[in-house]
Amino acid sequence: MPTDLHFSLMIPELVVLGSAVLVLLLDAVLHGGGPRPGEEDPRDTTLALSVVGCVVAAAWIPAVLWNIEGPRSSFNGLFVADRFSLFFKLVVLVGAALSLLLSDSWLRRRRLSSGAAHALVLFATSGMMYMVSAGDMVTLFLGLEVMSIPVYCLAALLRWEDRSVEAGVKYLVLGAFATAIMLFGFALLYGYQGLVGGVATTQLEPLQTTLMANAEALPLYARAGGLLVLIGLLFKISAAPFHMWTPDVYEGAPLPFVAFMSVAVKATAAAVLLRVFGGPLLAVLGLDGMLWVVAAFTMVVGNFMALVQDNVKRMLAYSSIAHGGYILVGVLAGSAEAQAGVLYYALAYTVGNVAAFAVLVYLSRQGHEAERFSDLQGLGARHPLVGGVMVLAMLSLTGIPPLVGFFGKFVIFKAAVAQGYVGLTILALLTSAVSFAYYLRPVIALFMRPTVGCEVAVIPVNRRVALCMGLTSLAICALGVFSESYLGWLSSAVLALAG
Amino acid sequence: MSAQYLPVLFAFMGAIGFMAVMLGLNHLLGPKPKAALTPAVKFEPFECGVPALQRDNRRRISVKYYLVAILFVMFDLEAVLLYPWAVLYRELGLFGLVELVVFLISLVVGLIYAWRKGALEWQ
Amino acid sequence: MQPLLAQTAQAIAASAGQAVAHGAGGGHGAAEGPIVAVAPTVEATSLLAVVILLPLLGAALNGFLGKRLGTQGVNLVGCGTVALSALLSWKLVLDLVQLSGPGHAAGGNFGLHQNLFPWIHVGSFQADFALWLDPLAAVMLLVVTNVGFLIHLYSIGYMKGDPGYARFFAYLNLFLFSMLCLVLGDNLLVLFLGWEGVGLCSYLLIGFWFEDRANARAGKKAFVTNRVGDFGFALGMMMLFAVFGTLEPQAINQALAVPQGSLPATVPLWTLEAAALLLFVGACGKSAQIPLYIWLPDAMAGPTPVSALIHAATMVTAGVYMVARLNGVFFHAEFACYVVIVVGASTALLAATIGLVQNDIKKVLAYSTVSQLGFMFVAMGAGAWAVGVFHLMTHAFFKACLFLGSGSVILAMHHEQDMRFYGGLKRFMPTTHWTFLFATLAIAGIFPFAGFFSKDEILWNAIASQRGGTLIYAVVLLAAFCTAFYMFRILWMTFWGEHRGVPEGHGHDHGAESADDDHHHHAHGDPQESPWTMTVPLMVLGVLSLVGGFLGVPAVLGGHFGFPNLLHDWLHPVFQYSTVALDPTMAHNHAMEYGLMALSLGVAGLSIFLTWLLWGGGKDALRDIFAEKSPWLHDLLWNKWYVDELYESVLLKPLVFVSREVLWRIVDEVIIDGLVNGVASFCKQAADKMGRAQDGDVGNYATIMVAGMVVLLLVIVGFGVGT
Repeated sequence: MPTDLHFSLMIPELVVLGSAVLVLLLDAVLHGGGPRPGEEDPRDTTLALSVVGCVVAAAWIPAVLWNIEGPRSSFNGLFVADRFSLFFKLVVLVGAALSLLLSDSWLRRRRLSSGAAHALVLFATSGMMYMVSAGDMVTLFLGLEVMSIPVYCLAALLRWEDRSVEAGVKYLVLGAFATAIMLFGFALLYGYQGLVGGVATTQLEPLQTTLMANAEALPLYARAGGLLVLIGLLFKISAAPFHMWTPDVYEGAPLPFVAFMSVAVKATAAAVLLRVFGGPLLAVLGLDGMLWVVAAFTMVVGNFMALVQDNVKRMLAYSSIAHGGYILVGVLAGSAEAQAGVLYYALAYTVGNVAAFAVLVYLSRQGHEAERFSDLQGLGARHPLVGGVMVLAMLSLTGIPPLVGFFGKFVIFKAAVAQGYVGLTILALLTSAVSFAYYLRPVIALFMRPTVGCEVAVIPVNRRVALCMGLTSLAICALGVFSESYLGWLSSAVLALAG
Repeated sequence: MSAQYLPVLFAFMGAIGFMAVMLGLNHLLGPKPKAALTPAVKFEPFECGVPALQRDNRRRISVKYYLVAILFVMFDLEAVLLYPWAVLYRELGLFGLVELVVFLISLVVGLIYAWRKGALEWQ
Repeated sequence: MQPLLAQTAQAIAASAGQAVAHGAGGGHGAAEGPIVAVAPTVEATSLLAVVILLPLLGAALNGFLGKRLGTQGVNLVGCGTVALSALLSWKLVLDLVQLSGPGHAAGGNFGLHQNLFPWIHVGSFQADFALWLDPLAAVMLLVVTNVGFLIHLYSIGYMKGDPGYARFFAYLNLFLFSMLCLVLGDNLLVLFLGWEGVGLCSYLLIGFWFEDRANARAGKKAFVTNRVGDFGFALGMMMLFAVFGTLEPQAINQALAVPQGSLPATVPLWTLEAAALLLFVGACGKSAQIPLYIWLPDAMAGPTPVSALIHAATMVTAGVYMVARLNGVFFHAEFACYVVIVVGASTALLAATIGLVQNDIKKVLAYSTVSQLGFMFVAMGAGAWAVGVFHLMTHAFFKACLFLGSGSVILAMHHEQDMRFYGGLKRFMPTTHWTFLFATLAIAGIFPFAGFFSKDEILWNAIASQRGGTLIYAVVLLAAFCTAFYMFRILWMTFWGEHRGVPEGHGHDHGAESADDDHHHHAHGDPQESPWTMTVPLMVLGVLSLVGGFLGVPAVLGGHFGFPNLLHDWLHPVFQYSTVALDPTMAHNHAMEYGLMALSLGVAGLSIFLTWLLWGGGKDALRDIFAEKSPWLHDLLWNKWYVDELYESVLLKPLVFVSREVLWRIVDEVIIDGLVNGVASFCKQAADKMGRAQDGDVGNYATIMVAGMVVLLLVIVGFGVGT
């Protein structure tokens, strides 16, 4: 029985889990066997409950936990609530809340039970929150599963659509594969810690200490263990060559949840990468050269493949692969500045990508998914503000100053150069230049091409999606312009990681 | 370092050796029927006296079965967890009780959901 | 792992701390080199942001909600925000006056400061979004907000019924916001933001009636010409940063507060000269000096309030203001100052001569503005910073008045701008006439109107300053002669004499005119006086043209009566360390000064007499003599010295030729397109190749994953063997 039970550190997670359970119950009670005539639609209730849950949990973090006195770890080190994890929780919660806002109308239009979907998002979010707070391989693994399984379900939510089911199954099979690889890595590291470190524990910190202490003579199996764990995480962040699932899953999965999984899963994986392999550990394990290659390969594959896609979702999938590559550059550089850059990047990517998906959700309508570039044609002229959001999102993802995406890239690349990764940074810059070509395509389609087909697209105003677009565009601009004012915040988060 | 795994290795080798010896003995000592002269029935799989299945046994099962099966697995696991808890009940005390109640509540929520969504109705 | 990481983090924190210390130090205090100057007194305030944000709020409201607000709402938002801003600016300036009182400023410069947010901190480059109000900025602030308010008020009448009414006010408010950023920016980057912002607004407002191609083209011309200047400005800014490591004018001036010729070793003179010249290129663009003045006359395509606000009173003086702001740099850069004074004097004369023969009332005023800006640069080049700012201020009064008066006339004449169809309007529009007369007397430099004092000080400095000379004086005096001439020519042709009227069938080819006529219900009859929203600003500005000069009565006149030179004293803290001495033979020669004063008055009088001869006496023949006897001179002036044509054939045509034949046909189409297309097709092909692996088969995906894993494991094993 653990002796240090600080449940107060876990309040955001408990709030999210609690609201997930409530949403599920509410949906079941109010909305048993499908909507009946005259019945009050519980969707608003479940949406409100889910969003409120996320917002309360997110608000709790800066309001209370950020400056909390006293211990920041609980349950014998199983759970760590340092500023580093708190920051990522905030990012994940923001991503979840925005995706929830997006999902509502989308689900409504398809007459789908939204309660289950909202609950799944919340469950996955709680898994992510546990993952970024994991101070122990067991918590990490449990969090991983709690995150992954709901996400698989979200991918297959449209269970009568082949593509969606295909996406879910692919994600499940390959994800299980990656999880197994990672678990094997954990087992090897656990064995090493037991043999060399003297104490058989699954905690990360003693393991890292042991590894660092024996940096000169690491046995092969310990390094292999590290590699396998790394591969598991690279799968989640969709780095090449473990990225193959990404385009198919993104294409098939429902739009709003693609937004969720692209930003939140990636941020979580980046957090865990930093937590487990942060600092000089990569080099000690002899994995830095390998990560160099993977990062380079990821940036090239992601950006080049994105060029030739006709489907906006697929394009964004490859773009997300490419962004994973940029994050890996920051992880590889490993300095405190680079790590702060990764945090920044996770935030930048979240708001930019959600904004892009929000536009797609907004422009989708009954029987007409805004998926291919041709689906967007000419809509910019009719909805200039919506098109403007897309322009903003694309410019931010490309990294045009003074938007938030620019500073994300800037901080990471600067730190990488400072750490001597000049070649990789040049490659990153070149591939970013390539990315301009495909990020312009939705903009061109929106504004510079005539509408196709005879139907006149009249898109009813959707307030929730509009709210989401407004918030994200505001964030894209404000977080970029005022970047200086909160970089100190990120640095303090990284300091927490250093201990 | 790996000296402690030596017994495992030995057990492994023992098992393989035992198997190899038995098969080898069988090969050496057993009767060797001539294929042409032996009746076909001798090549059939041994089915404890029951005639071998002749029909195609790949029958379709209603998809609803899987739903019930999965629910069964879930509550089966619940029961499995209850046994060790019951054994250790005194040692775990109030903490264990609370933990188990939380666990059960989460399962009950699942049950309510499944029930209300009609997962238990066979239609 | 922990110790190493912690170290790096500490290093970062330490460097950040250093940066902060540097930012604070560089702000308003220490700089390298021997410090002889008293550091500025700084007091924090939080109102400056409100002053600049009010117009931005107005712009946002009018821009986004203009249609819903209705005309009254737009008026309230557009003028209300500016009025509040103007009131606040008075309050701030009064605070500043308090600060200047005894016991506060210890002889140094003083000002109110507000740091809004840290803007860009990259390495050693620190730029905060900070605002700074010192006596110099205060003069500009009052001019911009108050004249700005009057012109907003005027626009209510002038733009009545225009379909783009809300858009107009949104642009105008946005312009004020940018202009205030420019005036109040505590570092050159904020100033540059405002500089670009006013350029953008100018472009938008010149092309306000963009349905007419010519207007849009005029906007483009202004924009492109200004880009040339901005390029120089940006380069100059970088140069200053390279030398001083900061972009804050206060810090730069402080570092340069040493006697001429005793610069610290870290600041080589040539860098200052180069920076000053580059900055002056920027000033030439914005303030329409040779060779970049050509955009300003075309800019008259915009609505007349725009011409008054942007292209006469405020934006075009930004170049002068910038030079005054960086007086330390120009103080030491003597050669650059020679360039400034020569360019200023030449522009003053050239533009004034062109103004002599133009028939479009706004064109005359436009060239007059160019010419007057030349006067200001003469003062700047002579090192008489306060005098330049003084003329900037008086010019804002009388030129705004003139433009608004011309707008009033134009409206009364149904958008006819050709003075040959005016005449005798005094009878119909007395208020416009009287205010116009006041402003004309001011610009002509007649005692005791505002222009007399400021212009005379410029003339005096042109000859008496160590950086001036007799030739410069002669050129400027000639320009002053022309000024009085073309201004009274306007008066004769527009307000006095017989009303000629627009002949039947004369084409009304103004873009917005048809729209306007629908709303202005007075049909083609006698011209009528404008509504009160237009005449009140005229009267205020007319009075200012009369009394504005008494803020800067030169010592030689006021000294005897104990009348101080208020403006000069007020600005003294700003310029005290960069005072250019007068020529010793002139410095105390009062007789000389009186004589020159009398001379300039006499020249103006002569000029006015000549206009009476030509237009007042009904002697039309006399005018024709000029055109007949020296047709080449008339043609030369009429065609604006053929400068546009010169640019066309010397710059534009070769540029277009090179652009088309070399850059486009060869460099672009063959080399760059080839490269780009090559890269693009390479990317596409590579992607296609890679894309083959993406066949949708889960089995293949898993295989690729495992293959990747195996390869990476093998790499590790390989490295393991290697080590």
